[in-house]
Amino acid sequence: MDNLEYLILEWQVDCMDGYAGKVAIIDLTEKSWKIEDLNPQWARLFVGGAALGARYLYELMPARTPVFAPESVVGFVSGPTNLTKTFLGGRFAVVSKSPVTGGFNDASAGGNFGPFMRKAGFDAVFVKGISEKPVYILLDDGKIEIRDAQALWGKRVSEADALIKEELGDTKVSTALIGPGGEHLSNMAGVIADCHRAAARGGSGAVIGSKKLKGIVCRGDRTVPVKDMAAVAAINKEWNEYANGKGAVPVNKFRTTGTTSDYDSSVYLGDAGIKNWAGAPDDLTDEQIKALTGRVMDPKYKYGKLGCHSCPVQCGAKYHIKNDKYDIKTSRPEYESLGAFGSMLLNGDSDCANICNWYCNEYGYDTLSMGGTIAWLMECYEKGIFTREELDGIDLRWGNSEAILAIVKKICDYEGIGIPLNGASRAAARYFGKGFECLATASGIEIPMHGARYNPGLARTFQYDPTPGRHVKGGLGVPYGHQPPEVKYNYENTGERDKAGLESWEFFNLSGFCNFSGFLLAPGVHYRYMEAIGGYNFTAEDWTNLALRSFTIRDAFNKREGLRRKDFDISPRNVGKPPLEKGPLAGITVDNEKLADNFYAAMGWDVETGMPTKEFLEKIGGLECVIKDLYPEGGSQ
Amino acid sequence: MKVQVILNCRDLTGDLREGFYDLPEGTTAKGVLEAAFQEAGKKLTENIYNSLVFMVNGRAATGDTVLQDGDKMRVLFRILGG
Repeated sequence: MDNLEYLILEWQVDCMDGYAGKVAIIDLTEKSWKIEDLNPQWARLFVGGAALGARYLYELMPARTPVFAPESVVGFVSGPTNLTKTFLGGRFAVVSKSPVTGGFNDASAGGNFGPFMRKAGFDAVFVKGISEKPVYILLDDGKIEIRDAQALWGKRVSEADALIKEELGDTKVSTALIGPGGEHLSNMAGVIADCHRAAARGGSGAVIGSKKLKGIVCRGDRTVPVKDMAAVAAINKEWNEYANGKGAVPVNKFRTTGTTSDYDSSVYLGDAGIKNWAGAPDDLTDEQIKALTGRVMDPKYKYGKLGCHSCPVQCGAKYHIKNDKYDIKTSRPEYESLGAFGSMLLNGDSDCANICNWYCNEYGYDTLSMGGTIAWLMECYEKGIFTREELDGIDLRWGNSEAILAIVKKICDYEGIGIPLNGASRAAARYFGKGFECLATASGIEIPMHGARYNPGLARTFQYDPTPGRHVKGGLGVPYGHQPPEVKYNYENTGERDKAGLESWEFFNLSGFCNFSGFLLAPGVHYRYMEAIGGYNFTAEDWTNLALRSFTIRDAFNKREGLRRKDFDISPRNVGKPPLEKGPLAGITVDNEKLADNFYAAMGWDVETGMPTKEFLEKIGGLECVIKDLYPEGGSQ
Repeated sequence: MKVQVILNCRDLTGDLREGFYDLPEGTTAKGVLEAAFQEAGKKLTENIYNSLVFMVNGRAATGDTVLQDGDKMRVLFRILGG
């Protein structure tokens, strides 16, 4: 603790490098707001993004607040890399309670929104209360306005974005908006930044919609103080050498076909979800798999490049989809979305996958939960659990692209079978009282497109991260899947490696760095950037403790809600129970509970309950609020 | 021996030929790929090799896996995530 206090005190001397320095706290019921100085201690202890958001949420939102109550809070939080010219430093986080898990939720996105929030003069904005009528919040060069959004309610994201820009007479703004999905309080609803980057997992769009808030709009010309801009510029200059040398393979790959380049590899390896996680690569033809790769889609659809603020890679693309029914301009789907609308549904129709992706961006839905929910329903339909009549006459056979689009449209239009499906797969199973055996979720969140049978370490992450069902959270992660079978399926002594894996992932989620910066930037560069931006002067132990503190504050939100290890689940099929009978992963069962036992033991937490011990909290420091709530009597357990 | 090579990593391998390759008995997966690069007048660099993974007859394999006559080898990206 002495060291921690020293770091905070030292930093306050040349304070707030790397920050706009202001936080907005807005009450929509009262139509009032406060603009506060960013808490410097929290900025030092939690830095930004999901971690800083979790710390504010922990403070601003009483325990056990119902998710759609006026006291429920949703936050938009930038990271210190945003607007500092740091390469790949453009992400922001949305934090709230999840309507799906009942616990903490964070989701992040790139685009321009995080940097623009800082241009507008704010590091973060937290919103509580419920407006009487639809509104949007304008953060405008240090000022706040709550503006009427009645004309925007019900509009698609790009329509609302255009109307806002027209109303303001200004195109140099950045928006983070919900679509009709959020307005209908869908468990799959997310926030769409700049019309094409989604912070969508866990249902935060529904929390925003419950407040009658269409979204946040930012404009301004402010800058963020940077401790050593010459050092940032020097690191940026070094990047060309990396991009043309050791980093040439991933940089060129992401520059050309973005994340779509991995789609066919993931399907053949069994990493991607196939047929609601019950299938194997040979359930699809080679042509069906090939059809959804960037190499095949780009010549058909691509008409421009697309990317995030301060990114030299620009891994996105602008797509134009034109057929006899649709003529739409959209962004190239990411790998995850292609898996969700491709292999998961045995769909090889690229028009269909692209249009599903467009629907999700425009109506404000999470592509993974949308695809996962349709996959669940397709399996239910195949097994006779749902009849064609129950699905409003839609013949939801595997790979039937017309039926896939029809059901997506029903969900987006909030019509017929689409209404209960807005709850996503688990809530729909509960609503209908059937189909539970076909679920593929972690605590109700549909599993992303990197499976735990190929990447066994993800079983622990999916089930026991504070935000379940994510592949972008700490732990052994995706690269671990490439280890030989005798390594990756050996469940002894995995805890320390799992714990070590927290550091990079928590760091990305709190700093504003893109997750891909793990391989699109040279090793070690991240911490040099952070030093140049904010003068952190952290030791290796400080960075490790920061990551552990980040994980712990997110987790403590759940523990304060009364959630314990036993309250988090994963569908048996996702850990190979029963194992697949064919394909590259035939016979594989993952020992998810052993992985979790090892992880909690390595953390020094209680293995049975998943509770952080008082000794751990004291050692990491900066978590006095958690000690007070979890150990009110002063005991150690 | 004859082995079939399928490339699902065109961003890295460019115009390498897919199809059947005649190679000596005992050739490894890495050896097959080197032969394919050599045939195209290119060199399999360490950077590229470290970015790839192999499957033989539908099962995960390594660069050291020794191929047999009639095997089907698929060359894939080492998945980075997305």
